[in-house]
Amino acid sequence: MIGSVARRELALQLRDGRLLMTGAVLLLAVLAATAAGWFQFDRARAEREHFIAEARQQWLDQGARHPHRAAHFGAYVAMPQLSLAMFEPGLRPFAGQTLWLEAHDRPAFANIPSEDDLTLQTGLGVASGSAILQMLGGLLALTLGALAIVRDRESGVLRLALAQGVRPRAWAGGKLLGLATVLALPLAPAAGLALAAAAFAAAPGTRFDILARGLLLLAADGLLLLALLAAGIAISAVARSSRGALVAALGLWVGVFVLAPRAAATLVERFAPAPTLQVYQKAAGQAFDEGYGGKPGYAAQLKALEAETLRRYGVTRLDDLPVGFSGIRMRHMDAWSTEVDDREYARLLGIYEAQARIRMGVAVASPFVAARSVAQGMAGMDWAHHRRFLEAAEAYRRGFGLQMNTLLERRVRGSRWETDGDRSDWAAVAPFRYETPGVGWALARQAGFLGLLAAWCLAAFAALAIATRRLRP
Amino acid sequence: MRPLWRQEARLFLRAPGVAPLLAVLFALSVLGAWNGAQRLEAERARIAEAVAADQAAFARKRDQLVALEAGRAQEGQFGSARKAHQAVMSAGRPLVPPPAELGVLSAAEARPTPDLLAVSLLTRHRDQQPTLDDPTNRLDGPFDLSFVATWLAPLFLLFLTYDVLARDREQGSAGLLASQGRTLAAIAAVRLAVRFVAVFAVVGAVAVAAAVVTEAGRASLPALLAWLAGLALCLGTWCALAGAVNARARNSASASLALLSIWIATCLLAPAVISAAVGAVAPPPDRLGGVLAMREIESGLNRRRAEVTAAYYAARPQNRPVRQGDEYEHYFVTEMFPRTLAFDAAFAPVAAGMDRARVRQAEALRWASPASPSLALKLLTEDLAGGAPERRVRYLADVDAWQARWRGHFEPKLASMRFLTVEDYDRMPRFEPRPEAAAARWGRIVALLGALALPLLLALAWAWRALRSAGPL
Repeated sequence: MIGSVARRELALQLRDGRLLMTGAVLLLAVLAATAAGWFQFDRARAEREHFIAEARQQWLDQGARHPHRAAHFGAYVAMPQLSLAMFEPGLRPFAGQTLWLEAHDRPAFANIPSEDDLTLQTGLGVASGSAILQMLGGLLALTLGALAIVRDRESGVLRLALAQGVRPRAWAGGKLLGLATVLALPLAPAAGLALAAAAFAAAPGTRFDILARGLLLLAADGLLLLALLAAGIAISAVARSSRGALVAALGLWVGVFVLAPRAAATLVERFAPAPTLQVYQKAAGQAFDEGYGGKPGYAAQLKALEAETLRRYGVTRLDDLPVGFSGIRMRHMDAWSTEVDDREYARLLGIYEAQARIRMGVAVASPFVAARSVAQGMAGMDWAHHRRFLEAAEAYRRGFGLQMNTLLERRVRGSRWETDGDRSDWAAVAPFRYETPGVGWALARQAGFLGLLAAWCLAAFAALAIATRRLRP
Repeated sequence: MRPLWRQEARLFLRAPGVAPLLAVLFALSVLGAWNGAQRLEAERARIAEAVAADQAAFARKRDQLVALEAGRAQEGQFGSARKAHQAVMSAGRPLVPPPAELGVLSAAEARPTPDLLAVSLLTRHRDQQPTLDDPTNRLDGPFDLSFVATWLAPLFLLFLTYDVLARDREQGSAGLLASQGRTLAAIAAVRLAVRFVAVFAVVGAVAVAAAVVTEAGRASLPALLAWLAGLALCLGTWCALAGAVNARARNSASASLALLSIWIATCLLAPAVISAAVGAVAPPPDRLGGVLAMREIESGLNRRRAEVTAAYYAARPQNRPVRQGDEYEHYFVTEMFPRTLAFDAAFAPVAAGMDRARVRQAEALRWASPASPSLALKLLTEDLAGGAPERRVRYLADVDAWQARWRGHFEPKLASMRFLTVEDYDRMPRFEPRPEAAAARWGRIVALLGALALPLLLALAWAWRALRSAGPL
């Protein structure tokens, strides 16, 4: 019975020219956005590769200078992107493109595209294939679902069907199956082509990973659309008129897609704000100067270090040391600032986790928030991927900072400071290498949101089942 | 006409769902205003803190110098108040742009004009300020009045106007309505006007109250009136579109879907297409290129550092050092400072080019904005809230002029290593930013109001033509 109702629904919808037109527009929009995304991704990749190569060359060509000043000149690194970013750019417009790795300070993302590009600042428009699929596909699913049963009720078809012994659950199930097929007709080819494009553009050796990530991304979008379709049909089953059903469905869409994401940002800002870089550095600076947990501040540590070094080398003045005390001092300073920074960073991670919990709470009310998070995670463009890159870059920064301090320790004697390193010293610093983690790592970070999407789907089906039980002609 | 107006207003306010809908809009507007006020308050507190800290630091240095000159204090190795390289060289003075008149309307994070720049004798050309914030929070933009006016108000109006005539046709009462001595066009116009006034009054009243409360002494009446005019033009366009659609729609479901399609086209798709087109015609500043240029100049100057120092003192023989200084002072004064001046001279054209790119992009966006009333209103709102790139150009020109005077004031003492005097502290140049020229600023605002008026006129022409022939069936 369900199959018959589904086939009827499919035939009716396909006869409706408006739906064909809407489907075609949606298909074209997703494909056009993905094509534009491909162009952007390709250009961004070329720009990034050029930037990384040039930045490395500039590091090598910086000329003779003091090792510590070279550490301040620092290295620039940029995060690699997976080819799925052409379909789901995620945080790319709003996350910094580069990290400047210099002496003393943990790097933070800078050069945020949206701060330079006014078209990104307007906050209007949906430009990515993934966003179109989610937002406009979601709207289509809700409106199709909202009109599914109520129109049959208004035209008397429902009364006729029920009088002929069709079970309400079979009627609603058939509608769901038929409309899901209708939705899949334009969206599945669009998503399939986008996935094929991402696989084609994938870096060598990552194609399987990209395909796995892409399939998970599309599965999340599929769950979102199915949940919305079921919710729409549930609304339709209880609505008295198509007007009321449409208003309710549109209200739900506005709440889920327009209000909820901004509400999440507002709640995060209100209840778990991340400190500004200045506040973070001020707190770290205070702990550095004053010490904590029984550990003295830097000035006291420096005095102890001087005494210990003099004792170790059996001399009474720093000037008589056979090694460069400046290098020892810088190494100690960096070790202490690293310890202080790790403590501050642990606090910051706690804030990020609190923010994630708030977003998870909002996703309970908005499956879009959950689906978008999964899509960004699978595309490698979420905050978890950015943070992993940030942490790898910080480990690299500490390593090359140590290299510069060791150089200083070896090149000067006593309390002298001035000395110059040269190209061979700069070349001894290995270039930064980074590998994007695999699909398993990404999935582990998005499992909560994926579970929420599944729960939303189940809840929508349950609501449909309850609404159908009360179905009246 | 007056009785019809009163009657329709009464019917509208008594209709089920209207009061809750307006109450929700009011609550969302208040939330938007509150967020804008919070951002403004935080920004002002940050500025006040920075200014107070700066004034206290300079007062402390001056007192220290007075005590030193009076023989009441001794000078340590660091933190000297009379050695310019320690006292003023890297002391960034907080320079604040003239306040925007309607800053409360926007809580945007990404703003072309910095709220505060710490400018010292050294270069002000650095990377963009890095951030620790999770970019997910910026993905959807802030929940502010700008968002309420450009996204939500048209959606609420759509909910309130989609059935102004279609519902009567649906219920079979349109014929009766048409036989009461008023044309359907007149009735529809009055109904639309009532709904327009309701939405405009809610959003406008909250905006006016927010501006009065938070911008006391800053908000100008013309700016507020300009924004209200923009809001009225945008909402008027949606009313006219609703009239045109209702003139033809046989039922309210079709009318709502048609209006929603227009909303999607103008608010979601058109801005994306405009952004892509503007990005191609007037690309944003090349930030990565800017970073590479910055480092290339810096490396080049480092390689020629002896030459740069020699050239500096050859051009300013009166600034030759009068004493040797220690190796730190020698480096900062005779190497780093001349290099800083040479760097700024070399980088200035790159920075100017980046700002020109910003302005070009803003101009292109304004030209294209008639295609999307929401985009035009967004640009108008951000301009009045201080977000126009032209304001940045004006402010940075003032910053450059001030920095030239600041350098002129301290450079002779710094470069020659002569000691500072109390008079040097007392006669420090003050920063007095000039507001943008009124003609240029109002030219932009009038152009944006024109961009809002154009779609209104087209929609009115369409509505007038459609309503004139609107019948009861």
